[in-house]
Amino acid sequence: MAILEVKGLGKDFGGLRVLDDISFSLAEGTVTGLIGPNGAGKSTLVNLIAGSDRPTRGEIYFFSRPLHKLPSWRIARLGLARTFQITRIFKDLTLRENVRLAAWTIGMRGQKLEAEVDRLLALTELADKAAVLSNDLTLPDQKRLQLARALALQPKLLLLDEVMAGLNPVELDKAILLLNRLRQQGITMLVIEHLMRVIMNISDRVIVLHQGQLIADGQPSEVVGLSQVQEAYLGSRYVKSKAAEMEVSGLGGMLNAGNQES
Amino acid sequence: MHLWLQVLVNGILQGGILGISALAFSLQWGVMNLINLAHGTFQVLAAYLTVLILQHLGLDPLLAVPLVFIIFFLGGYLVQFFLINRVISTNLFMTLLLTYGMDFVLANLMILFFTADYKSINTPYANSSWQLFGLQFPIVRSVALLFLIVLSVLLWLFLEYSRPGRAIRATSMGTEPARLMGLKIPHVYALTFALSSGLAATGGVFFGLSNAFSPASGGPLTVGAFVVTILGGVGTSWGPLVGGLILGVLDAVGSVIFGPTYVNVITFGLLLVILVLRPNGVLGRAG
Amino acid sequence: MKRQRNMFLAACVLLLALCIPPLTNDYIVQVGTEMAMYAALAGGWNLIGGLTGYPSFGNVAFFGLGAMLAGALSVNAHWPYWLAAIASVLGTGVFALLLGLPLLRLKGHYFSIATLALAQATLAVVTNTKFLGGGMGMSLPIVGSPGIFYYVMLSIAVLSALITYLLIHSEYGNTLLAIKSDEVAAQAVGINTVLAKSSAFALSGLLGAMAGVVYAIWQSYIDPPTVFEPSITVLMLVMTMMGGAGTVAGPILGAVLIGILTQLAMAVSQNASSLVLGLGIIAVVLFLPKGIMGSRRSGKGGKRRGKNTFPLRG
Repeated sequence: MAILEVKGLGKDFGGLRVLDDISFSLAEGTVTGLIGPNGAGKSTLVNLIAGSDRPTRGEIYFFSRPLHKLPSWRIARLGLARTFQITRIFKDLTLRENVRLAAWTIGMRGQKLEAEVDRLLALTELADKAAVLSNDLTLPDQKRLQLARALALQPKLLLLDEVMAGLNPVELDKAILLLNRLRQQGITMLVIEHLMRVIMNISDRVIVLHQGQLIADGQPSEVVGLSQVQEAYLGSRYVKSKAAEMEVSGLGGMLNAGNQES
Repeated sequence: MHLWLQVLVNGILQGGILGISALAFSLQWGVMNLINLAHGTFQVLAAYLTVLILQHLGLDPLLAVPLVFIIFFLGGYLVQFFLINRVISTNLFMTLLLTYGMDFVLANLMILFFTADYKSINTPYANSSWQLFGLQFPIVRSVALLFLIVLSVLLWLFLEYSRPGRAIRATSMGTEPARLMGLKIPHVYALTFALSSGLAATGGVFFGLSNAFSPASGGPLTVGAFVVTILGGVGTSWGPLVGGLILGVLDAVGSVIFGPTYVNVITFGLLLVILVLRPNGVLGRAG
Repeated sequence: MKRQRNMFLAACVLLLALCIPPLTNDYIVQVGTEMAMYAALAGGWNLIGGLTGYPSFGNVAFFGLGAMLAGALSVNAHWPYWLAAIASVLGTGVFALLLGLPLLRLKGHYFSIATLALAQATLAVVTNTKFLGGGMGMSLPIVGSPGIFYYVMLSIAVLSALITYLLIHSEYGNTLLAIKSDEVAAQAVGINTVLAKSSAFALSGLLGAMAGVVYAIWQSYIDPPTVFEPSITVLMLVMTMMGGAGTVAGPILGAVLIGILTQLAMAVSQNASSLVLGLGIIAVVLFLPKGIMGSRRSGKGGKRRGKNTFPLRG
């Protein structure tokens, strides 16, 4: 069953069309990668789904319930949590208070609340910094805190906006492991990520945004082969020269031949 | 009919003084995100300075405008560079607080030097008017409106085409890009505040010529500049002109219809309604 | 440990404050009443300005409306004092709640200006309303003794501090701090920010109105320009900032310090007192930007790493 359904979604900023006619749905329990070059409208899409911004056109349904008119705090309480690409943390609160506040808003109290906060801090490896004022955290820690805070909402759907940017290879492996564990718990995820290694590793499906439009949707291995996706990322000249190069060296089969420009 | 035409003229001409004041206020706000609560008191100080210049140098107030402008330009530069720059990057309301403190100090110094009594600038033309089509055009206010139009054009040309003007505009879009462009932001800020202070002082001269004033007259002037700036849009070149005319006419018409005691209800009611309906300001960027 | 020490200190200060009327003269009691009034007002301001991060420039509206409403209900509607007082405080609270809903959608300067306009508009409406005393103001029947008013103001100040204390140590207080840090993120973790902000504003209004009501009965003559004086708001703000925004003791400390400073300056010359206050404000901004109590839990390791800061040496 579709946990999230997006229908004909569009967003204009002034006269600029940032998103146009986006439609897709997410099946429960799946992990979907959302990729696209800078400025493609990925974060805007996440903002619209999470209610931080209002769509100009189109509709969003979460478990068949319309979201596009709800304030974002209602959406969060329904079990749709998110992180922010540019971290947003409560810098006047300690790390622990940050996480506890989120769990508190969905009605957890007393011992259960504290136990849940402990569990999440351990899960995100922040337990030893629980009493630190979050203003003093490093960027990777801030990203982890955002994840812990989102998980405290007991989400059914998690929107992750570049949670892994700036991590070193070791941290990256740990993060991938963590996301895979969350998937096993049945949390549906929409993951924005620039690192293809991560996307290939965790996604069941990849959707590609380019200049505000959905240009591809499919299995990760399929999607990266599509030439319009490579063009979107690397520019058409690169793809052409690369294709020519590969033909010469006999590796042309790596690219999806049907989609190539001749 | 004739009465209403005269009311309209009065309103439009009142808009001139309001507009010059807002030109300064809007520039600081638009470029530095700075709300200068001492703005009105700067203007009152300029009015007192004009009195001194008239008394001691015998220089006519209208001819003294360039001198007053330069004095406030220099003073403004120093105030921004050594005082406001120290806190402007911390948070919004530390600067509010600082300018309020400056307002307090200036107003009370003026009480010490000039007493709390009302003064006015005595010139032969202060209370006379031009007659045109059977309507009265008070000289000072008419000249103020002309000044506003000329200053708006000059300011626009300056910001658009001069090197320092472009530096100011670049900085208004964010300090980070401006710094990457190699601009010395403290100096750009100081220059902006200097320019604003000079403009504010110019407005102060006209205010002093057409109104009696005391050291306590600054508050309402600041609030007036607020309202005009919001009406016209923060940081736009023509906003102060438009906003000044709108508020001038509304106040003039309103005080005839409802009585002069309702002018404040109109002014502040209008301000509240605009703020609530257009939360990010009428045209400007969000605070 | 630390909490016990603070409790002990608070008890000592309160005990000392209780001893003032029997041990000193009427003049000091009057000054003390004023300090207590400002401690209550600053405490109220702290809820919206310090904890929630919405720097209101119009809190005097609640003080003024509370005072004028209480006066009008007792003098013009002939209600008994206690009923007029309760009705006035509740009425002003509702006023704050309703106006908070649209005004708290505004951010930064826009909020400050809108609240400033709110105070001025309220003044203008009160001045033009006969029932509320109009421009002439009104005389209230004289009751009580100076000592009584001191104790009443003191209890409002204590109430104000108590509310702040309870807030800071509750999840609701964390909600307000979260809004101050980042409102978008606060909504994203499920906080109903509109409700939280409006209720903080209403609490702020209730405290302001309480002080206003007691002020009206204490002074027995009130007129709109006095009770809506914009500098009253600024005093609340300055005292809170000076003592430490977002702390329990900050507003009280600020009120007492500014009170003493004003008295000292007045002893030198009547005119100088305002001048000293102005210089005091500038000094606080330049040298004590976080207040005497410091901001919450920052300090030793608290390097400033705000996103909006930029080094001005450049």
